[in-house]
Amino acid sequence: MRCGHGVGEATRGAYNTVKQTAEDLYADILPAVEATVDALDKFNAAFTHITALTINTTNLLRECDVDNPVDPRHEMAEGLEDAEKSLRDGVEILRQKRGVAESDHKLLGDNERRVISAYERAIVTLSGLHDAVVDFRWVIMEHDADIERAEGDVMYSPEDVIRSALG
Amino acid sequence: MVPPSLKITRFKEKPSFRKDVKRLDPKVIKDLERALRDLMGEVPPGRKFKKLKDSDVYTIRVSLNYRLSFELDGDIAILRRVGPRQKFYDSY
Repeated sequence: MRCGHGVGEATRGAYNTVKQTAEDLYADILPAVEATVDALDKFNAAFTHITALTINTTNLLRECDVDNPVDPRHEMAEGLEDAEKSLRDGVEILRQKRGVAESDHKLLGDNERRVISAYERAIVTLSGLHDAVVDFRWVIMEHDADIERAEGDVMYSPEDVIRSALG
Repeated sequence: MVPPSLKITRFKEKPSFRKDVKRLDPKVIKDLERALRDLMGEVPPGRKFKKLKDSDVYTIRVSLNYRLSFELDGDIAILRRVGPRQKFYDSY
């Protein structure tokens, strides 16, 4: 096939379009990478602070003697259980987003490493906060059990225990 | 690890334990019943029997995501708490 007039121009046009698109993409990607990494780093800083607060309070409650229950109506334990569920969901969302970043063909080289690394830091931070909340809830629960006395009859079988507890 | 001298033949309950049981799903209550039965015999390693640091409180797994805590008074297990415990990095 002979190339007619205009093929050179068409080729040049297509080349320009592809090149410009790639350049624009790169220009768009860079700020997006910066924004993602910045947002995740801010997220990490905030949640690291909350984790430290949770751990400090847990240790305080472990070490001190308090005469009164801190959660007699189980409201805090239930609220913390809800928080744990939200944090587990959050970790799952971050894992999915990390997966999307890994398979994103526009993210290459250093940009890809930075974004994935930021997601991994966020996953570790949020998982750590989750586990700190679990420990916090259990320390509250055990603390309140410490100041209670056993009640009721002695029971000789698991069935009796369940019957008594549900009765 | 389960101490060789451990022999539980009876149970007592603390008020919080009773409240905790009332909040459990029927399936978890069945799991709890099985865990209590294991406590009266040979506790399998999968129960992750543990003594909590700096305390006289022991714990075992009721199921993958639930834990039971108790104290010992001779052969009586005084049941303290039962509830969910699901962690990403579980040292327990």
